Amino acid sequence: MNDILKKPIAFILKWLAKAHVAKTKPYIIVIAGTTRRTWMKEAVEQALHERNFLVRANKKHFNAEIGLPLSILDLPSGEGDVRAWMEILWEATKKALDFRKQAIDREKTEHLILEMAIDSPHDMEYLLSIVKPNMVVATTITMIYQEQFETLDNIAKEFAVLAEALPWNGILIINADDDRIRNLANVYKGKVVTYGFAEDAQFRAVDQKRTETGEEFRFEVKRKELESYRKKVSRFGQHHIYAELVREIVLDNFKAQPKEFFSRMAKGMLQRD
Amino acid sequence: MAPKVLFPRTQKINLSPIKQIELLASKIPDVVSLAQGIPSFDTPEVIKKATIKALNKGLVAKYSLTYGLPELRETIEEKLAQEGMYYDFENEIVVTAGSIEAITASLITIIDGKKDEILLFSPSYTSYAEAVKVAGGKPVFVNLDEKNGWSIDFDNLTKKITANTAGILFANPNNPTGTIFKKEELLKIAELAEKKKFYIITDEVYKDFLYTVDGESEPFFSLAQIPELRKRVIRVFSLSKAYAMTGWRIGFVHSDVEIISEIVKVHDAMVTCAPVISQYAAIAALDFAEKDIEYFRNEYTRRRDVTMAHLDELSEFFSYQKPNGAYFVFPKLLPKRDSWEFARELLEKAHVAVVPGAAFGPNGEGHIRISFGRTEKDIDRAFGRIKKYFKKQA
Repeated sequence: MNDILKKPIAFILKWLAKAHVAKTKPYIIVIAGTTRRTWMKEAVEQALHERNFLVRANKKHFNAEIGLPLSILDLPSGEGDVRAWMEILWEATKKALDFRKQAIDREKTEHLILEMAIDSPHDMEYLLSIVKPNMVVATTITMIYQEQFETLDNIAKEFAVLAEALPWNGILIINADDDRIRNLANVYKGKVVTYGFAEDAQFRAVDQKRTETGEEFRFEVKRKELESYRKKVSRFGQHHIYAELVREIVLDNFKAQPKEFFSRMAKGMLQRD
Repeated sequence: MAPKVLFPRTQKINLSPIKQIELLASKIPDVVSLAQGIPSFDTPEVIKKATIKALNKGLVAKYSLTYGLPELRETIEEKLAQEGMYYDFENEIVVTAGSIEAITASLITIIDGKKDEILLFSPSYTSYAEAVKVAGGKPVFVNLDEKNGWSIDFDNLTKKITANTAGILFANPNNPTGTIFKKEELLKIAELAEKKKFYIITDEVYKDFLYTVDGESEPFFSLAQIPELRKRVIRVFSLSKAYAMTGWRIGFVHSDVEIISEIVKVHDAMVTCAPVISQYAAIAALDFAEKDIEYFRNEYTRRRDVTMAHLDELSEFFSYQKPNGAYFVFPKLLPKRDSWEFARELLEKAHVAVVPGAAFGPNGEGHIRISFGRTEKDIDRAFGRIKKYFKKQA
């Protein structure tokens, strides 16, 4: 898309997405970090499905100034096609202004998983001006976008802005093995859950072993007592273990919903912890 | 006294015969070249736009990590998983400057001391033998069976395996024959590799160009899909052909962490990292250029049919096996004759460049490689000239 078109489209989409969120009030789960977001998103989505929630997650790359509002509105990109963009804006307007109860009810209960990708300073502020999170999963900070930020600590500052945007009853889920991510606990006073291999991680992996078909590890979590058992993921790489830990955290924080979702919804029986 | 030979080691290495033919062709005006395996297409717009964006954002001026940009490696891991191959982006995938760098780094890694023999199919890609020599190894050719559609002759292969065999390197689909090796054949290779303890380097740069046979495409299988073979198989892929990006020099290699952790040291010593601008292009390619591959595949299918129709008209002079993959056909010269002599004559008299079969190993002699990666117009022009050439000969 050329730059002349980009600005007005981003502006219109931002406000339509804001209007849509204000109307439907979805539970927003933000996945942030410089890498590993895809697998975290999958893990969160899977856990919520297991709990019988209606879930929607953003498509890959729909995570910045244009992609994020499109994800919220569940619309495709027009790419370089002006006509396609006109149609998308029209669809976005109709969605944002659709106040029929049926449409609102369905989306009101939806859990929306959104990646927030930043590649320049203050990007996070902009993304938060579109939507604010109820839950944040922070993965890691690597040198991926360092060019624009000068230091990794400057990237961490962006994620601190995100953590601060959580409401008092939100949840901040952080990687205990990444010191910069760990430090986010200092900026949020609400519920913080840690995961990783670190000794003090609340949802912890220990004794990682690679088998021919994937990774094996001992999963430990301290509830009333220390629960500990071996787990296996049929993928290779530590990031899949982290994703599995986050899946456990989500399962732990969201009560299972009965399968007859729509009848429960009509009776106003939906709940979450 | 005999004059001292400068650089005796590199004396044994030859410039790729494909480049030699191209060099000869460049001196003759109005040559139509069906020699080089370069797609006729430009890089898709979506890739170019994403690259310009990265360039303008100032993202490409510095080195990336030696392994490559994490974002690209994540994308590669996702892509591989879609194809049933599970590799860790953090430790098991290295982004390289095209596939030949990945192959050379892999060969340097596995060739060690007496374990210096690398099995190569004959015919196979010309640069393999030279890469083996660069890595300090010895190429050992194993003839493919032309009568059975250039399939693997296992009796011959077994005979060539010795205590010095470090590995086998092959392209699947094969260049220049366009053969897709069957799953059973590949599993037999894996069995031999396990038994005799050698590595398998599988170069799958043409895996996106498979053609239908009687309406059904050959199912593509990679040994890298078998988790039990992770410590035996090194898989190489390049974006050059699939995404029309030969000039960008971008590809990747993946294998088990214990192999990749060694390959990456060679990669680091050779190139530090793959060109960062091309790495950004590769992200866009893998994420957004699926439609373009589909378009290229359809075009190549048509061009393959056009090429085969021309060859059918020249059945007095050529016989050939129908290629099921890649964009090459490898016809046999009738009657049998020296392939270099024929290629030179065709270049000089008909102004058409093709690659002599001898360039692809001893079993390639008596054949030529024709690329249908060029435009249909070029293919028609080239065959028009070839037909005239044979008429004159008659």
